[in-house]
Order: sequence, then C-alpha cells, then structure tokens
Amino acid sequence: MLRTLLLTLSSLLAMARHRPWEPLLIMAAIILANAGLVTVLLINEGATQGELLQSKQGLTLGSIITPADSRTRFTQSDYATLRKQGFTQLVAIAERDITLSCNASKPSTTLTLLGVDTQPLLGSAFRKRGFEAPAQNDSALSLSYLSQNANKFSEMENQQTPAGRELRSNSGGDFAVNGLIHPLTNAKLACHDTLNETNRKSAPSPYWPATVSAYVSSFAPQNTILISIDDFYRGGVTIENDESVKPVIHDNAKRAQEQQVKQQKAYVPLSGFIALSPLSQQHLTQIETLLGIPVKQTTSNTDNDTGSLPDSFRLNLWAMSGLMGVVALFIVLNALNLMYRTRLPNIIRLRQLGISQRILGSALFTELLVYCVISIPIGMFIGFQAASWLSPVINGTFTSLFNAVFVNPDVNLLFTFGFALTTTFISLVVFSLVSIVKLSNALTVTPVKKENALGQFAVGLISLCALLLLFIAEGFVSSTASALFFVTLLLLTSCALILLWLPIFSRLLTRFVPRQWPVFHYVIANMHLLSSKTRLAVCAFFIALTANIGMNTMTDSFRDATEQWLTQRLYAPFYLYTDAPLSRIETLSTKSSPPLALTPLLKAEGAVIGSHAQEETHKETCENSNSSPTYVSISSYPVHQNGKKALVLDDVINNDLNTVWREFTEGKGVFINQQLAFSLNAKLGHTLDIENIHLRKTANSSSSAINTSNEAYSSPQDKTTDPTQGSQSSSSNSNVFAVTPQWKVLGIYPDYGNLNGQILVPLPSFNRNDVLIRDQLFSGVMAIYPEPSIEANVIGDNKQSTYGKDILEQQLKSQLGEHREIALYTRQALLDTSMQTFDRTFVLTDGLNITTLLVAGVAFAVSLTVLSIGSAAQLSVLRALGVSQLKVKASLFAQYLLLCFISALLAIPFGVYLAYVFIQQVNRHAFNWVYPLSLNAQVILSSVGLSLFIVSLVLLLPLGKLKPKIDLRQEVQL
Amino acid sequence: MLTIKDLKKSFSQTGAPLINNLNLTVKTGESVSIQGASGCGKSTLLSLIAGFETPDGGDISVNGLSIAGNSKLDNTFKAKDIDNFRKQHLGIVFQSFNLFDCFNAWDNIAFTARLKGNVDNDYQLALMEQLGILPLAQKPLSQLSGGEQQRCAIARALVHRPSLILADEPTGNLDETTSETVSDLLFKTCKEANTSLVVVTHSQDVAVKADAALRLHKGVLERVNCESTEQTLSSPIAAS
Repeated sequence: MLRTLLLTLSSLLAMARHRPWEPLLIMAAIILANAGLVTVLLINEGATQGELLQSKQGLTLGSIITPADSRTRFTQSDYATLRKQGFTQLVAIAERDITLSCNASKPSTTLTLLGVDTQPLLGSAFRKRGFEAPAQNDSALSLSYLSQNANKFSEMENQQTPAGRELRSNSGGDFAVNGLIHPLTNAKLACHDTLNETNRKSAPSPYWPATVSAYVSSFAPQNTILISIDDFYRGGVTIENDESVKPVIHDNAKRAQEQQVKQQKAYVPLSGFIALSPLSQQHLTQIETLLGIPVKQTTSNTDNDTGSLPDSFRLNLWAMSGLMGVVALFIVLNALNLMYRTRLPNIIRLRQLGISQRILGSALFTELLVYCVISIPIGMFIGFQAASWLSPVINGTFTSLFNAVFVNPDVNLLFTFGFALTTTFISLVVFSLVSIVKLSNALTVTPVKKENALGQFAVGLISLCALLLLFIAEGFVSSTASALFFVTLLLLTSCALILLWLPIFSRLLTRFVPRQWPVFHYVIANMHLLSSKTRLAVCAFFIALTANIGMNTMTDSFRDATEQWLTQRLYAPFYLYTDAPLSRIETLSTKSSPPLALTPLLKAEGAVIGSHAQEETHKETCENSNSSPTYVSISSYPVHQNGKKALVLDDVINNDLNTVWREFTEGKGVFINQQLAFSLNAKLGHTLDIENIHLRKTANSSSSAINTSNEAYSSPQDKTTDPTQGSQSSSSNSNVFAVTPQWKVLGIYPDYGNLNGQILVPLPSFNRNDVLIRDQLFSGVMAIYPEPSIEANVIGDNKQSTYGKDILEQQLKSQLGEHREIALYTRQALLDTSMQTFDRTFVLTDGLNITTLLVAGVAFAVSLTVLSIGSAAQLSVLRALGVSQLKVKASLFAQYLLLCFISALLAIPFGVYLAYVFIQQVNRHAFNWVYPLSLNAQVILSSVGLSLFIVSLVLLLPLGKLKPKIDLRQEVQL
Repeated sequence: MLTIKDLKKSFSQTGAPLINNLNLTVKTGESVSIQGASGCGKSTLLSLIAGFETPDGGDISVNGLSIAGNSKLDNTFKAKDIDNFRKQHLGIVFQSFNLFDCFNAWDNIAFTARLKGNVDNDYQLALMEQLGILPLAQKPLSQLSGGEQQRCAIARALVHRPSLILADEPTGNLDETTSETVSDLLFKTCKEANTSLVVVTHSQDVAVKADAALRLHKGVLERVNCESTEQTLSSPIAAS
C-alpha cells in the first residue's frame, strides 16, 4: 500500500514538474496567506506585549510628592526630616536629562536619569515583586543588587531579555554603576550606547562620567535609566549647592581645573519623593507643616483607559487578517481546482490502472502537505519582515490613537510555524475536500454538463430574499463580535449574489455587443463561460474590493465628520496648554491689550449609575441601571455666543436648539457625548443619576519623570479630546459646583477619538469662588479669543492680525513666568495636528487594504492565467482563423478586465452598505460612536480604479508571455 | 490556385529532411487528398500551406500571392500579412472541429465571414441548408453531435468564400456512416463553391473522392491513382 501511495505521489509530482506553474501558483498563494497571517499575529502579539509592559511599571505605581511651587526644591535634610517623622513610605528621587548617542551623525536620544534611594524600597511593597533585601554587610545600597535582581523581575514578567546594554560615557568612564531600563525604552534604543556629555544644551546637567550596565526590567519607568541615588550623586554631582564638591579623581592640574568648572553647575536638588502608598490630605498638610512649603501629590495614571489597547482594535486587526486569509484561501482553492482540472485525464488514467480512491486521495493530500511545508517557512519569513517593516507605522498608530505602545514581539518560532501549518493545512483540507474527493472518484470522462442556469426572475427573487434576511439579521447585532459576524455574513451573502448575477450580466452584455466585431463578441461570449470557471477568483476579488470600498468610505466619512466637528468646535483663534494655575492665567485678560477673553476648560469626574425618564422613580432607575457605574468626565462648556456657534450636536430635544441652549445656560440640563449615551442607553430628556462627583486628576505633571512614560506619546490632539491625565485629587469634593446643574439630557454630541463618557456642564455652574478648587478644576487648557467689543481679526495668526502668536506667547511668559510650561496653539495648528494624527492612524488600515486588494488581484490573475493556459486551444483556433497575436492578447486583456469591471460595479452597492455597517454597527459597539455616512464618488471610484489598475498590472506579465501556438492538431482540453 | 515549388522542411531537432523539394499545383475548384504514414509530414505540409510554419526552402503561393516563398529574403510578407492571408483566402477544417463553445451554431459559422467583413446571411443560410444543419442554427454547441459539429466546421470554412480549404483528418473523429456523409458534403460544397481543397486523411474512402489522390512518402508526393491525377492536375507532381 505504501508502495502504491509513493508511486501515486511520484506520478502527481511528475505532473507538477510537467506543469510547474500550477504548484508554484498554489505555493505562492500559501506564502501570501501565511505572510499575512504571521504579520497580523505578530502585530497583535506586539500590541499585547506592549500593553503588558505598559501595565507593569513598578516604580510608577505610587504617587509623587513635589513642592507646589516648581521653583522650590526639596533637600536632603527635608527628606531626613520627613523620614524621621514617620513618613517611611517616602523615597527620595533625583532626576536629570542625559543624552544617548550612536555617533556624531546620528540623532541622539534624551532620557531621564532617575536616581532612587533604594534603601526604603527594600522593605516596601516591591518586595512582593521579587525584590528581596540585600545580603548582610551590603551597606552600599547601590543599585547593583537591584540590577542583580533584574533577572528575577524579568523571569517573573515572562520577559526573555534580562540583559540590557552597556552605556559608556564618551569622555571615559570614571566609575561603573548598575541600572535598570524599561523594556520599551530598551527596544526604542538602537545603537544609542554612548552617554554623550558634550554639546549639552540643558543648563543644569552636570558631568556624570559613568559606565552604566543597564538591565532590562519593567520596574523602571519608561524613557528612564533608573540608578541608585548614591550613584546619581557620584562623579562630582551634589545635592547641596552650598557645599564644596570634592572630585573623585585628581590626576593632574588640568583635570582638576576641568572638574572645578564642572562643579559650578554640579548642583542637582532632589526632584521629589515617591510615596509608595498615596498620602491623605492630612498627611500632605503635615508634610507642609514640617517643611514649611506647600506640596502637591501627583498620582501616576496607570488606570487611564486611553493608555490601554482596546479589544476592538485587536478585533479589527483579526478581522482584516481574516479577510486576507479568506482571499488567500480563495486563491489557493482556485489554483487547486484549476490544477486538478488540467490533471483530470491523468487522474482518470491512474484510476483506470487500479489505484484506489483512498490512495489517490491520500496522495493528493500528501502533495498538498508538501507544498504547505515548503511555502509556510517562506511565508513566515516574509511575515516577520513585513511586521518589522510595519513596526514604526503601527507604533505611530498605537500612540496616536490609543496612547498605547507597540514592541517588536518575542514569539516562539516553532509554535508560530506549527500554528501556521495547522491552520493552513486544516483550512485547505476542509475546503478542498470536495474537489479532491470528486477527483479521486473520477474514473470516466464525462462531458461537462451544461449548468442549469437560474432565470432572471428566480435570481431576482433569491436576491431580494437574501437582502431581506440580511436586513433582519442586522437588527440582531448587539455587540462588537456580532457586528463583525454580521460583516462576514454580509460579505458571504454578497458573494453568493454576485455568483448568481455575474452570468446574467455577462449574457446581457453578449446580446448588446455588435456581431460586426467578431473577436470582441467572442471575448464577451466567452466571458460568460469564464465567469462560472473563475467564480472563486471573482469571489476573492469581489470580497477584497467590497471591503476596500467599505473601509475607504468609512474612513472618509470619519475624516469628514472629524474635520467638520473640529472646525466647528475650535472657536477661538488660540488655545493655551499650560501647567500654570488658573488664577494666574485669568489675570491675563485684564492686563492684555487689546482686551482678550479667556475661557478655561474645567473638569471634574463622576460616576453615572444610570439614567431614567423623568416620570420614573429613582427606585426603578436603580433596578434598571447597570450594576457597575460608568465613570465620566464632567467638562465645562462656555455659555457665550461663540460657544453656542461651536456646539456640535447630533440630537437635541424637539430639534429646538434655541430652547435647549437657553435651558443649558440656565443650568436646567446638560449635554452628553455619544459614548455615554450609548453605554447608558440614555435618551433625550432622561435624567442621569450621578454620584461621587469629585475633582479630577490634575495634569500638571510635566516636570515629573514618573509621568514621562505616560505623557511621552501625548499629542495636542489627545489633550484636546481628553486631557485627563495626571494625579487624583487628594479628596472627594462636594464643592465642584457653585450651583449643581440638573442632569437632564438636553442633547447628545459627537466626541470622536474619546473612548470615555463625557458630560458638558455650563461653565458658570462650576465653583469658581474658591481659588484652590478653581485651580484644581482647571484642565490646563484655555481658549483665548478677542473680546466681543474688538474686531475679530485683531487677534490671530494671520498677517492682518495685530496680536499674533509670538506676541501672545511673550505676554504669557512674562505673565506666568519662564519656568511655566506654555504651549500655545493656533486654531489652525490644532486642526492640522489633529488631522495629521488622524491620517497617521489610518495609514495601517490603508496599507492592509491595498495589500488585500493586491492579494485579490493576484488571485484573479492566477486563475485567469491558468485558464488562459487551459483555453490555449481556442486561442490557437482564433490565430488559425487569422486573428493576430496582438489582437488575441488585447482581447484576453479586455475580457479579464471586463470581468473585473462587472465585479467592481456589483461591489459598489455592497461596499457602501458595508461602510454603513462599519459605522452604524462596528463603530457603535466597538467605540461607542457613530457618524454620518458620507458618500464620496471620488473615494469609490479611486477604489475601483485602483483595483482595476492592480489587476491590469498583474495581468500584463502573463499576457505578455502568452504566445498561443497554432497547431492543426490542437484539441480543446477536457 | 495553390502552387508549391521545391518546398523543403526538416525536423527542427534532428535536422532530418521531412519534406524534400516537394512540388504541387492545385487549380481553382480542384481537390487533392494526401495520404501517408503517421509522422511522414502530412500535417506539417498543411501547416506550411497555412503559414503556421515557415519552410526551410521553396515557395508556396495562393492565387499568385507568395506566403512562404523567399520569405527570409523578402521581408514584405510579415506575420500581419500571413494573418490577413488566412483571414481572406483560407478555410480550415480541423479533425477535432475546434468550434467555439461560447457560440451557437450560427455564430460559429458566421465567425470567419465577420472576421473577413463579408457577411452574407443568404449564402450562409444556403450553405447550412446544403449541409443539413439549418435547423441547428440557434442550438448551443453542447447539443450538437460530432457529425453536426464537423458540418458546422465545414460551413465555417466556406462561409467567407476562401480560395483554398485545408482539411486535416476531417473525418478522423467520426463514425463510418457520418464520415461518409461529411466527406461527401465537403467535396461537394467545395466543388460548388469553386474552392480548391487539400485534404489530409488516412481514410482511403475519403481519399478517392478527391480529384487527385496523393501519397506523401520520403518527403515527396506520389500519385496514388495516376489516371485520375493526369486527368485533373495540369502539372506533374514532381519528386526529386
């Protein structure tokens, strides 16, 4: 039996050798499919690992205490005082910038060198993470022990990169220290192994000639080299600015002189204290009393929703990979079918010679397995390369949209190969089972039966029923998964419909083609037959194009909606982002000339436990509401006329904006964003049940190394949409509002890019009497615009404006102080930045889209190439009857392109419907927002044009090589 | 009129002569059958006449138009011209019919006339009537028998009024009775259309129906029926 199997297999392989393009096409399709699969697998794995790493920032779990006034600094004695008074949970930290470079030509990277007093950490909660106390007599308390334990951290975190890198000073290492570096930071550093101490621009950056052995651990914050504070103050750096510094080494007079120069700027104070557990307001007051200066507490923002990768994105990626997989599967099956079709006579001969169906089937599957085993590693390699090539783009997408990070994933090659092989082979076996069984059953040649084509009426009726069922199924969509399932259903249904309609369209077309063009008539008439032979390729092309039109229309609609929304929403010519307290900024309006109006963005937080119609009782509400409260951001909204004009609302009560606006300004209701409305199922007129309203997390953390990791990827756009990063207020506050507004939902507004619920409350409702509360309410964002009394063009960034950005910036600096962080954006700059962020976000989608289209184009070309080889006999007859070679090629090209064109025409309505489903169902459930579908003919036509262009390109090569041989004995193949 | 002078063709791989100084003249309306052992070069001869292949030497001309003569020296007759020659002057009947399965019988037959641009529906109707396939005009190809398909192929070869018809084993795929009918129709319609006919066949029954029955042997044509040949052929068949 084995001998027969081997003999059959060798016969099949001989057939493959005889017509090598057929197995090569199959292998090419398997390679493509696996490349796509592995790429998406790696992207998802990278995202998951990035997310995992991001959630494991050991040192940033606590809060940080800094002086309230950023000009004041803590000293060593302050630290000693506090610890003596029982604040043992405080750990001193010092920080400074340090530059890493590869060589002079390449750009350098600036990281924060963070010195931590490691002694208190040894007895803290970090022990639980494997950080054990040092051995006895290890009184040095350097970070060497911390470093030695890095391996342990790494093992615990399933990291496989315990060893980091050696960072050497370019001026010669005077001493060696150990440090920790976050895996993400390590991943970002390429050849940056030199601590560059020359050409420093930052003033307080003293000489620190060390060689750092940096170990990789997520214990360290991102963009930071974590070392012991003892090492931090070595090499001529001191904490006390009034104390003379003794350089470590004095070899000669010159060196001593150099050291002396460095000593002039060798003072680096303590940056703050890490509180291993958050301090209460009482503790803060006590600290202020002990030190005599006001302090503030900043909590790290580890629970920020925007910092994590939503499952929907992963679903999206898997959906795209699924699409690519389906398209690739179509290619393989198509190629398989065509290969088996050409092999049919030989297969029949094998059966006639007594080879059983089982042996034949086994041999066919073994042959398929051989192709898989050869192709999958190649596909994997291409997938790895593609993922690596796409990494920067994906990273940009992640950071801009989700504030998440992407790392080059660490995957098990053997597992990936096994996964790819199993998935591919099982898919192929399942889907090719029918054709292989059919083939192994073949014994006699039977003429191809004429298919009983359905009548137009029957096809129309079936189509109507299918569409009706589809619409009914859409009503049952209730989650992201079911929405994606519906997308699959839509694509499959449309595929089935196109298979029904394509022959009808071809037949209709044949009727209209003038008989005076015999070759063209032949082409069109032949296309009708071709359509039934190439159904799989047509399906692949159709699915890819439908998805492409759907995605592009959705993206374009989203872009339009976002642009319109932002254009209307940004009403002021300037927006200020600052860490300065509101009380200081507000004086600007009185001091400026011409007079400026300032509208701050105030923010608080709360938890919505439900919503109810006004006639319902509260009891009913509680019963109906979700068990877990929805945390929302409560933002101020100006009540002036500019604010009214800028307000973008999807829906208002009775469609009466004027009445609704009046009620809003009087505090009789609020506006909520779509996200909140969808998550609560809140309707217009409902009243929200809100509890635990408190001051939100403050955003003034720019000077803290702790928050660098979280802030590093923030863009102005992020801040525009939801600048809620920072630390939690020390206490809940019932004084958020001067007059608590009624929580009646007056309108629902779009809030694209925000994943959280938000409520707009009239600005005057907030408590602005208490300076402290007002400052804490302030989000750091301020709209600056001219007073109504002055002309609008007085302020702005155009040439006519007398009050430009530079002048305003200067005025702000002089008003708020040089040490304050001020970022002033013009309206246009914010708009541009936002749209650039938007475009960057969709680069990946565009890339995947085009790839899918390309794969589908290849599928089409593959099938048609093999078909044209199969129809060589008919082409030869054409040539024999006097049709020139060029005309034959042109006819074939026109034929295939026409087939694509008809498929494309049918793909347009389904693509538009798909875009609608993406917006109204997938977006609704994945992101909780919807937006209007805008149909742009240019977008649709460009998708169709691009697809036809791709098909044309991939067709040119096989058609160019096609030379139908004229042979009198040429027979039409079976 | 078909004139072949000193035609030479060798096997491309071995270089052994296949056709060696072959001469033949077939006048308008005359028919010639060519027999011979398998592999003797019968189909190659037809391919050379049709311009599918280029001869190593000699000349082939149809109605005074040289399609292969001195082609390597005289470049005026290019591939495009050969295509045009086939379209205008040639009709081919294949052993395996080679009709287009995407067309019905009528469109298949009309194809060559449409290609040439001289569509004559009345003539086509008459031809189909003569061949007995008029009732099948609108039928798809899959519903026609082998004999019916070959009759369609004959009609296709004649419908554009070519000067010469080349038939390669026209009854090779047909049973004896059908073969008899089809060959009769082929010779009869060609005679009535005043078209020259060259038939390559293994069938003695078909061969004798031609005005001249020849045999291809060792690269040259020999007369099978001298009486018949002398009566119909105006020039001697030379073999050197």
